[in-house]
Amino acid sequence: MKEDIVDILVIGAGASSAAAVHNLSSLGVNILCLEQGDWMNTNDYPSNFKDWQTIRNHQFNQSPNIRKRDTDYPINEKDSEIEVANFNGVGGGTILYSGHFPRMKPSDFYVKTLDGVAEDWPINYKTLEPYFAQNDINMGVSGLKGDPAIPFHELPLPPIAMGRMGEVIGQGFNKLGWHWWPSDTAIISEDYAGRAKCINLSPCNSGCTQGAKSSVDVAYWHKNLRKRGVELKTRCRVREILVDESDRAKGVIYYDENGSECRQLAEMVILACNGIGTPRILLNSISKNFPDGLSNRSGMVGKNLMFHPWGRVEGTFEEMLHSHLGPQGSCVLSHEFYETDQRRGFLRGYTLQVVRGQPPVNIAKDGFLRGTIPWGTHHHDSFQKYYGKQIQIEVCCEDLPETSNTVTLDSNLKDCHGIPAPKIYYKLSDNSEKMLGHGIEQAKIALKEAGAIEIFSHGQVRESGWHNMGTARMGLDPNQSVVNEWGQSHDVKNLFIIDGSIFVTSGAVNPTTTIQALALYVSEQIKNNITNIFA
Amino acid sequence: MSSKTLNKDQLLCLNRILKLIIPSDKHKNLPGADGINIFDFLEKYYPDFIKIISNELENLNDLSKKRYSCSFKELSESNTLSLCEDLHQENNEFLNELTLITYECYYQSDEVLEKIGITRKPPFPEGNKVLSGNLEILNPVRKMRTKYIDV
Repeated sequence: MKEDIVDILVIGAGASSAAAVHNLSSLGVNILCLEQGDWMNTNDYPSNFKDWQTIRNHQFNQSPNIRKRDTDYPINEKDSEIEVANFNGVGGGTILYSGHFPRMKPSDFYVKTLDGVAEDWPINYKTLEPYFAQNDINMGVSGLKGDPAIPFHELPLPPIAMGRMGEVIGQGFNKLGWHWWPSDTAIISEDYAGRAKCINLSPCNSGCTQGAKSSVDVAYWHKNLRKRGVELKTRCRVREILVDESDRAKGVIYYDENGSECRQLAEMVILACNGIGTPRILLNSISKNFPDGLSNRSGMVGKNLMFHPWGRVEGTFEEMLHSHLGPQGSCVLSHEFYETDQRRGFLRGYTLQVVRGQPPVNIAKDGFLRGTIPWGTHHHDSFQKYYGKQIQIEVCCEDLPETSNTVTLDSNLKDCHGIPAPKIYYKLSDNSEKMLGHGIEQAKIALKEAGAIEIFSHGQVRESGWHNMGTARMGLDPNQSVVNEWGQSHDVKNLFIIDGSIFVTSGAVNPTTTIQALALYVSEQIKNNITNIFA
Repeated sequence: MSSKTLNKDQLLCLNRILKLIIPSDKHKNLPGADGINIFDFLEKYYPDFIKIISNELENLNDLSKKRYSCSFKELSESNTLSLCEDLHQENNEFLNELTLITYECYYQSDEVLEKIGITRKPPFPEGNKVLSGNLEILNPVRKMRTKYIDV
């Protein structure tokens, strides 16, 4: 019997995949997406339950090594200063992300030209601008137009509530003459596209019960699956991509929901498994023509791993700010220190992301660990001093690519299907260390100016590997990059990569909006050149 | 309060410790940690820790006998406090872990949450109100020159 061949096979159902499939679905071809995780049921999210703060730390923990769902794969990160955070399911990392949605800036695409380090991208902000805008509409993004720190753009929805805490920290920034602005946020502030608006449940980063956070299962996949020819299979974990003698991808081997080994043939394969999962599959796809992993003739697969080095500074205020309420990971941000100023002693820059205060359990436990909320007779007074009165500033630093920071395959650790686990080697560079130190000090200054009576800082925060980039980077030189300016593999012409692994540099902002703009852009190139690619 | 793995004396001792960790506060009308159902919580989320509690209470008993010549449950309130404070000063791992779990349970208790002003409970059908904030304070920022390099 002749094997079924799909036109386009997409691996992964996260942020990039959802956007690309949405765009490609207009081609009218057969598109099959294989996702290793499940569909999420909003009724299962922690905020439905009384003990949500505990459940969040277990079944919905950001670390797959703690969460240990049967849909997760383990990651060896013993040699990494940052631990990976992800989620495996329809929606991918957007299930647990905070929806903080700032775009990368024009300078991010010209780091080599401007600062003499890293590489320039083969595309630029202008290339992606229409795709940023389209994605904002598709996702449902809230924000305020007119931010002087980013090229002018309008958002489909007004900004989410910044609350009293936003005013307080904003006035602090104003006193210093620093930039700040309400964050672009992938959370709908008004009813939008059949979804109900945000009602400030708070724990966005453990799944949004309301469906107001624009995770791509609700923002994209429900629409995608209404298109003819689009199919999504869950609990299907891809082991390797198959390639023929003429260096064309011909399909994949995967394990289905019953654990059975299956083969799916395809005319084209699109990888969308994030900066860790994508190099893992490529490196595990060994063949005669690709003994070092698929699409790895450059030797760049798995290299140049970038996170965002992360600092956290907490200020306590006398005034009750009710800062524990509202979308947890998104309020306002400052781009004051984004662009390079060599007088600071490092290249490139960072954002100061102001996020809400913590829920009660975190307040109490963190307070105990640092000795400010003790047990005993002073416990209640101490707790009241902090609860609802905290503002956190997160320092998100641009990471520069280094070939020594890598994703490889672990020779011992394997997932439940026997596929080698990714092994991370990552060290902060000297530049990152200096930048982080500078950012933490500036965050302290901002909080003090805003009226904080007590300030605590942490950094490098180890549990901050949300943004995984650079491990199959884009470029014009096939000896120095994995994909070209269209996201097309230099080595395998019908293989495309659309996730954060194709980033050339990291910027200093959360990458999801840029990842999705890239996915829309790459898929548009596929649409425009479909005849050539299939020929 | 009940437990399948702690005997009556152990429960009594544990309650005395919980009461020390978070005492009740009459002025704020807040219960002590001995007044919330920590065992259901432990059994649900930290079942392995119950065995540790059992072992550690035995160690406390031994320490009490050595130091005060009586069992832990027979200690006066002041000696109980003194013993626990000493352990805390020594950064006792068990006491630290018990404190963290107690906090975690306490601040998810309905009674406590209501008293600290969280009256809306999961599944949050109406959500929470957050002030939109005065966007006019952005005016100084609006007047700034372009803050990005246009390349």
